[in-house]
Amino acid sequence: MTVQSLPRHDVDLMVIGTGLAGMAAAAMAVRRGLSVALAGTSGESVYASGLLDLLAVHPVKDGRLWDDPFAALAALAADEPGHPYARLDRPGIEAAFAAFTAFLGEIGLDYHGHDGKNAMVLTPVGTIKHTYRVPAGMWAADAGIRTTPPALIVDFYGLKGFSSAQIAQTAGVFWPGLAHVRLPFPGGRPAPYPEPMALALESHKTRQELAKALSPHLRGREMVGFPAVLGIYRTRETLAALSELLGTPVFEIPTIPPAVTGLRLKAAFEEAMPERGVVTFFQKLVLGVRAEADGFACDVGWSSAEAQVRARGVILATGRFFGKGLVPHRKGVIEPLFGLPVVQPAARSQWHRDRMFDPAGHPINRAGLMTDDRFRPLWADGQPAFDGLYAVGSILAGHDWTRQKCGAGLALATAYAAVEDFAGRR
Amino acid sequence: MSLFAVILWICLAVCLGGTVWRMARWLLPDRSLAVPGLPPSGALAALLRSLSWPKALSAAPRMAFTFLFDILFQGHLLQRGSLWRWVMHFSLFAGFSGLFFFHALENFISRPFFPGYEPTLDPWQFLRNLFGAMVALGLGIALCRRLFVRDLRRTSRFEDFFTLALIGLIIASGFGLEGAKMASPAAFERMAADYYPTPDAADLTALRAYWATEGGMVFPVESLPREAVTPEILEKGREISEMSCAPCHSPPGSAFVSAPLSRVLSRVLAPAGAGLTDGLWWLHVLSCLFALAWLPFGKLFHILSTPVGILLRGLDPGEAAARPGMAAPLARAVGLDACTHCGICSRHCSVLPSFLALGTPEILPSEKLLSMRRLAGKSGKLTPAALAAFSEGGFVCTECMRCTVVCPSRINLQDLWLVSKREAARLGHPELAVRLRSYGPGVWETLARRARPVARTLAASPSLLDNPETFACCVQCSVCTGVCPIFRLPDIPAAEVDVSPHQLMNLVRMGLADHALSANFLWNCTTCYKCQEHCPQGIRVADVLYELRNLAHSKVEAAARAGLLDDMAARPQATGDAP
Amino acid sequence: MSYAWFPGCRIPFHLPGYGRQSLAVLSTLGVHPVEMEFNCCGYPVRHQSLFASVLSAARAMAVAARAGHDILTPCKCCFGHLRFAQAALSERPDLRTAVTDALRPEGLRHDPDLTVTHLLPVLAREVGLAAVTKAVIRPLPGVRAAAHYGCHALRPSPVTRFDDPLSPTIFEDLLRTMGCVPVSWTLRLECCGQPLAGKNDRLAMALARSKYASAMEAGAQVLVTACTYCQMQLGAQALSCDLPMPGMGGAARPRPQPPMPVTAVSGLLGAAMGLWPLEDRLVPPPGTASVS
Repeated sequence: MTVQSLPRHDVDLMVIGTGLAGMAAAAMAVRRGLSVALAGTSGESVYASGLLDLLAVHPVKDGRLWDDPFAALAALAADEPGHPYARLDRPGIEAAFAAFTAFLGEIGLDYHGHDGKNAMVLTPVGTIKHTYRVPAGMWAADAGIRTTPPALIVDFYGLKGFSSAQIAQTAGVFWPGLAHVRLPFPGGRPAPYPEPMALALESHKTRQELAKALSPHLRGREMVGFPAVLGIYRTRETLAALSELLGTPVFEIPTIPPAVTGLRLKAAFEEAMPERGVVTFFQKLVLGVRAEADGFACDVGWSSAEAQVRARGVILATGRFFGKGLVPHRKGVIEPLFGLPVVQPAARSQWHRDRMFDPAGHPINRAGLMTDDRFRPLWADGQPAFDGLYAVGSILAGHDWTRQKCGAGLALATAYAAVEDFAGRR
Repeated sequence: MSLFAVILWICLAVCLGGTVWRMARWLLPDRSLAVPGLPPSGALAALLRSLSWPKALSAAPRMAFTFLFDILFQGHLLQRGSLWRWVMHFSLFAGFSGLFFFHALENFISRPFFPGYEPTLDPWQFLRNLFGAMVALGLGIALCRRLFVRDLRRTSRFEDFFTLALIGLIIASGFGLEGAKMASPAAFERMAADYYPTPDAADLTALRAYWATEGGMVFPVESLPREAVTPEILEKGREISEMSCAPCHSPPGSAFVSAPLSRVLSRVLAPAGAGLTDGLWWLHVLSCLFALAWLPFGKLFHILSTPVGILLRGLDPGEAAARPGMAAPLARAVGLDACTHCGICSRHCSVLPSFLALGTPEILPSEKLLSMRRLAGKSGKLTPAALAAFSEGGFVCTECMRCTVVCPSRINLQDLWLVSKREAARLGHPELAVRLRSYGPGVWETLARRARPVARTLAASPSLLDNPETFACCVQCSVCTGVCPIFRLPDIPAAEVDVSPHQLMNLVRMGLADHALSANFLWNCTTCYKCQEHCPQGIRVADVLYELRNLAHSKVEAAARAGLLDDMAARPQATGDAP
Repeated sequence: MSYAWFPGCRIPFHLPGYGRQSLAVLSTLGVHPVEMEFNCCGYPVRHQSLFASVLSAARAMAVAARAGHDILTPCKCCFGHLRFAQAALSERPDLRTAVTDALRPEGLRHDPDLTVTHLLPVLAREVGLAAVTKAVIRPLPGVRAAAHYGCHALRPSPVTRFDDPLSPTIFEDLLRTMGCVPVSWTLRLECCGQPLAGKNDRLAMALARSKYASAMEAGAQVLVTACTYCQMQLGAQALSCDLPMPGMGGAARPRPQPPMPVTAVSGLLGAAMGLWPLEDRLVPPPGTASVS
């Protein structure tokens, strides 16, 4: 019998991680004409809200909200020089957002936002979330919150974690006159999960039935809000068609994870990456990396190697704990792939503060990799670990993205900076 | 009327009656063999209607070839089988036919058609030995195959050995009889009295001496010459023999089996004398007549049914199975009777390893056919256990058509198996998974209490269900449910998706596998593995679902062996479906 | 490398054309798999007994190994299950012991290094897209084709190693060599429904219908399969093998006709290679071919 050798690929850049940072890095590298390989499990991306935050909260212990993210950035850079944002400038960040939203537009996902200003969307509990770039489906909410026209919030029987009544009541404080209605999902479809619903609404028949069921509730309503189930693969068409059927602007409210909003990004990426020549290894891990004279040799697989990729450069976008970029052990947190030093509290007892909901957050949530200004991770002696190795996204040290509302911006801006640096060196 | 004649006529009547009875069932096939919507009794009429002169004329050369090549020469055994198999069966067939027509029916065939026929003259004496030896050779090969070829030993039953033994008895008693006669002084004296009318003591002594030397006959000491046998005495004996015996007796040497046998017999059994010849005669005749009477009731019936089946089989058995015609019930009934239980189909069966693992004999085609024959014979009155086994065997079959291709009797087994699945379902034994699906948690709890799952089905203890690591990372995020194609389907009843994949994982994690088994969804899983592929935590969702189904099957298998299954099957709904 | 041809149980009766055409295409492209007698791969019995299914697979693989061949199959369920069995045998010593014991009386042994491959990877990677393109002498210009990937070759990907499980391209690459235009369709990677056929026909047909609808919505003119089971389920052939049900006057159970042509990949490729004429339903109306 022949023992087949592993498939081998030679590329410029290996991107490890398929979350937002990894996807952005791959997209931007393709944009710069690099050959790219991409490997990673879906990880957190299925839980994404689809919103692209830049920075909304600083300092977290005060919970101060900012309307102008760049003013917030300046304040953050002054207060927290160890934050990755402190290594970035406004033109770079704006260019990253522009490049990425342009790419999303190309793959069918339109994004909107204000210049230099955060937008507002409704959350599933009826509060306001400030964010920088908003998917087309949620964009109308920004105008809604600002102008408060009479609107209707819709939900469906069986859909868990989403109550139009609760949203109408809570949001009624700043958006008076919100009506709400709960409907059986059109067509009597039984599976009360966002993904089946979203898929069903890509069909014209289902949308028509929905519009028909809604028509008695629309009198005097100038806007209609839905849970974020308006399509997965053809959101542009679904949104436009429903808006036309109802005769009013339509907006989506994110649902609790795992939500369709993350799947849209994931599905569009999964289709777009191979089309753009990226060698993809979705749902695969990089099991081991060897540094070689002119780059890296990566073993890609699940339980054992299934392919080998040789790349001049590597972008590490493996995330923190959920993405398994960082692994907590009894005596500390490690970075498993390269064994890079992790900036972390000195002892496990210091990982968390005494109170779980301490507004200042917990030190462990700022653990991660230290890098130089070009986002190359450093050894303990302060030297870059490898010339062609970059770390981007949430694996970086010094940020608390969930509390600072800066996850997406961090992912995009650091990915952009790393790719630009790598491409510029060629 | 002699005792022999009475027995002969009884046996003939039984044989004829039995044959008529079995053939009548071809013409009026059981309804389990029917083509739905058509009366099975119309099969013959349909077959006759479908015949026309042009068709018959165009088919005649093919039919003639089939008859000559496949049936008489048994050439299909050479094409699809091994040389050994052809040698075995052709020896049996040709040898037995020769004995039957020229020996058993000598008064009807040999004597009228071959003037000067005497059984003790060559070539008849030689041919009889040759035919007998051929049968013996065939029997020997057949016995060795059944005993020493593992795949054939597996499917050999009592009837197979019994049939071999019966034919063996006929042949052995025949040779024994001939040998005993050759060595029998009593026969000599009788013949001498009849055909040497002027007895002279010296002549007789010379003749005895000659036969004792040349024919191996053992005479009582007092009847042989007192002095030493001289060449002159022998020469005289030879002359008398030439004159009086030779017209009806070829030299015994051409009886190349019986003659040596007679020498052995004469030394060993001489004291038995005339009684031995009579005893062997009765043994030979009775075994022949028993075989005749038994012919319609055992596998020997294939002598009639297999040629009919071969002639009836169409050119394209696959097509005939896919679109059974009006005459299909007739072909099916003949096919069921044409099986010789040779076991070739089971040897080549695609799902033989499943039989090795699961052990249900009905998985093998040769055994399933026996069940089906019983089913067609009694209109579905199989015991529930037999029916369950029949159903399991039927549904493990993958319809690969290999058995139909290799069957030496050219039975359209493919057609029969498609019918077997339909019949099993009609009789309340659809594919096991369909039945397991209807069991509610109560049934599974009862089974868990009363019967232990057997390791045979699982081969080893479950590797995933029992291991807490399997589910340790599950965060109940419901991604598996979101990607499930069944959950995405529009317009299906809520009962079909009663428990979702992530809920199933949670049930098993909590040790409630019995509840998981009663979930409709478990049995609706298409095993597409999307859940497992998309799980952000790497949980082997689909593998767990497979293992749950394995567990359900093994529990039911255990219950079936403990005799609980009928009980359960009778009231699946009583403790069953959750609202 | 020499391959044993592993058609799988369903080819001879249910889909003989797929087997014949695959072999014809392969031999034209210089791949000559050896025809041997195999037992079932074990996939159909997997839900009943893991042991029975893995034993079946191991026996088939051991028979190929004894003859010195690797295995090439046109069926994705055979492919997926043989790979699954290889993984299960290397992962679980208890299973390996039981299987080894069961194979020993026949003088067979499991060879973990045997290669199991499928028609698509052999065409696209071993023969190579360039060679296939060269062999295509009658391309099918502008035929909009939906590649139906099937489940068991793609997933579970750590075991099957067929292509990227979420974003496979191998089938579309092959379709392009024939001049087809592969369409991007929502349910490309979803189940055809065959595993439920006969067990829950309503769901099985609903799954098939959703696939047709998705492919047609994406503008596909033909649905292309590369798996015996998928083709049986989605193709018109399934209709002819359907058993007549009692009490329905001998008529076959009513099944919806596929609303679009469904063809196995070798049929299409062979037509593009000029081995046989294109299926009637796929021939573009006169005058349209030159436009694209």
